[in-house]
Amino acid sequence: MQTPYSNPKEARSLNDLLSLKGRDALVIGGAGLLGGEISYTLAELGARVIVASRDKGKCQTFVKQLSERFKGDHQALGVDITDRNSIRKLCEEASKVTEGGLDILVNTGWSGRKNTFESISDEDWDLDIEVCLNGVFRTIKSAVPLLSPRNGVILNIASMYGHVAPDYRMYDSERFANPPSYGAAKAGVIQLSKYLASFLAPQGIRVNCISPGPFPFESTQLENPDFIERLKAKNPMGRIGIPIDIKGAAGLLCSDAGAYITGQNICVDGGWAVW
Amino acid sequence: MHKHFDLTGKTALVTGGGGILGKGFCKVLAEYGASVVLVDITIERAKKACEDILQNVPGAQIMPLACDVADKDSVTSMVNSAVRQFSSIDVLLNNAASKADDLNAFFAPFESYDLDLWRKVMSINIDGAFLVAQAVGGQMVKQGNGGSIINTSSIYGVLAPDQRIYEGSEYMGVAINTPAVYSASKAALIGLSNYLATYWAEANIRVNVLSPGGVESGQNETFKKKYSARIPLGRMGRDDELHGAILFLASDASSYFTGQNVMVDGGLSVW
Repeated sequence: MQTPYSNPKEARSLNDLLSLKGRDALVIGGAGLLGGEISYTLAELGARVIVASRDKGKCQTFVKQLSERFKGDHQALGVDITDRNSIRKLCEEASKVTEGGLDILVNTGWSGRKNTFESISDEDWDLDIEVCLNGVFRTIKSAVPLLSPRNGVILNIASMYGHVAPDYRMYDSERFANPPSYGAAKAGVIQLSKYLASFLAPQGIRVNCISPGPFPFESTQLENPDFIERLKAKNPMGRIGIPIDIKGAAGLLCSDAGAYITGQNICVDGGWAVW
Repeated sequence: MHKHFDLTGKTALVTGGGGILGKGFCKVLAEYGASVVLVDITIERAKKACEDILQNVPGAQIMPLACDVADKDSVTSMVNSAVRQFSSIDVLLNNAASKADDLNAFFAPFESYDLDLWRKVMSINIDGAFLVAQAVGGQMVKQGNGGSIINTSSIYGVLAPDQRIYEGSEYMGVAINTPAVYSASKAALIGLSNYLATYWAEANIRVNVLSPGGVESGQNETFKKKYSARIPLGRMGRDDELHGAILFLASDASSYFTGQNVMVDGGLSVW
């Protein structure tokens, strides 16, 4: 039993609370724009990071870079989160790496499809929900037996469009449009996080999500500067997000520094949803 | 369905009943059969509003009363007069809000905002809602028939203003903005409503919030244009566009509805 109130002399320092030394993390989509930044964050705080996505080659290249900056037995694995067997295999492989158990699971995967309400097909819709929502559910379902013995942490990456609608005037072409399935799936992720925060609490597992604001790819920034200007003008802080902006929230929620935080949706959005 | 919205036999008390929105609220309540107690800061304002309503709704049961909602004694005697006249109160609209007497001071920059003015506005917008809810809610508990309390908040009790829309914006010839005291007091009303929704649930007193977006009432073209550009429906609201929500919240049409905040904002809060 912990003492009810910390003795200042014995209390853990913030550095210590943030430390992930000796922890094992699995980051789905961990070589992507925000997933990659989160992988870096967890490795920097001392965790061993297993990076997994559809593109195992990309994960391997990424892990090579990651290991150069932060030493540790980081690993790259392949997974298709639309396939239950593939997830089961991933969990088995991850469990071999960690010798059983997992401390941190981060879900950042998304389908990458672009369309509008007019152009979206049933197949587009199904795929987006399959990856962004069902994939998160399936991954968590498979990983909980690994997380449970270690009182692990789950972090899901949702989106501002999981709780506010996009302004249709932002978009000048389908290539940059926000698909109708995306926000629906992300809203589902926010609620699933709350549900699991409740039902996994008895196992000592915390579940939170981060709702990032506008974090356009570099290619989008180069290709459509006008769109970027519209995003900036819409945002109270007057700028788009850069990947490093996600680090603090990810570190807080994945470490003991956030030990009493569960079921929350932290908006890292430059104030997007505040007005 | 019509009878769900019928207010015949009910008494509604509306504070700020002589104001831009309040007068319309009183009118619609009277139209649907309620006896209305129209409360405003001076008896002249209250009487004038009652006369206007009687022209539109002949035969309306409507009674003007003066009350300073920030003053407990004034509230007590106002509620006593209302109960003496109509013997019960079934619906309360806490709608009184202050823009202060000096518009320039009310719209002053945050850095130099006057504490006394802050307190004065708070005393009406939130203390007043507390005092009137206390007196009327207490009366409703005593009556034992439940009731409906509606507090008028604002989008700015939920969302922050975009300061860029105030450049060149005027209201009644004065440069305007949304002062922090307005946002803070309107947010407080939402907290009070949620609290009372559970506190009085057992007494079947339902407590809800109406949060209007910007309603056209004499703002200049610059403001209207800038404000409208932020709204999915692309325009400001009209005061009569709040009436459906008021009637819904006041009547038995919302008998299973409590602790909610109805945003009538043209979609602003959606993106």
